[in-house]
Amino acid sequence: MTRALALMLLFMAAPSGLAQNDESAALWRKIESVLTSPRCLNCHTATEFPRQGDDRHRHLHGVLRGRDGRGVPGQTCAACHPSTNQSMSGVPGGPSWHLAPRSMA
Amino acid sequence: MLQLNVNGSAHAVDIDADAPLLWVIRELIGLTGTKFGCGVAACGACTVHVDGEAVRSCSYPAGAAVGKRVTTIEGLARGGMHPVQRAWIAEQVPQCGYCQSGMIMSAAALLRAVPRPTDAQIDAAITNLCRCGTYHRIRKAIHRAAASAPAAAKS
Repeated sequence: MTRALALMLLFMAAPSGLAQNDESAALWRKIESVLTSPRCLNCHTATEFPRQGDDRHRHLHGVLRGRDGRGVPGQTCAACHPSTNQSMSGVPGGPSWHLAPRSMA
Repeated sequence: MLQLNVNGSAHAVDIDADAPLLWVIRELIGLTGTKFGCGVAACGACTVHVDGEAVRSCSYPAGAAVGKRVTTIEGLARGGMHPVQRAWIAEQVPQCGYCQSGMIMSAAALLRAVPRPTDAQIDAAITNLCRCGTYHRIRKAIHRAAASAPAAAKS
């Protein structure tokens, strides 16, 4: 009897629950589109190297994460990515260009 | 007007702060040892040091170098020859030579940070392109410079 009542309550609750789920899913899809943007993931990566472009190909020139996420000695991120975007070369820039730590992948 | 320190000399240059440092070095100051290769920071022919760090000057705004020390291939050794340059000659590294000033600047920056680099560290740090394919001699010369002059790391 208790089981039947529980099933009935579940059934009655289902329509509003589903509606809520739809709304949640829609909201999540918006969040997901941000969290999975290549512009974020290319440097928020668990790999030993950054990626580039919307196709997320491995960063050219064998660029590596390095110990502190700023490249390796002699080949730091900042060697090519200065503090501002470069209109002449097209190379993007920003202050302190580096990979996010692995904990933020 | 930008005030720049290049190879220890003060230069006042009339150019936009966004202009690539490479243009200033070559066209305004007249130091043509630093080469233009790809123009998109991909090949490393334009590598110079800014406060001792290797940067690709085709993609480095001149304004960002104000108040810093810029060193080009002409100023690397300050009157003599840098251990990397001596090793380059000993190993007869260059073929056509176009990329070599950038290679030497990158190698010097690596040795400053890592005085005795492994092959893997050299491969990771020296991503400059050499279309003559002198990479094996470049690696040998870096090892030679490391072995012959630990002081290279301080220059």
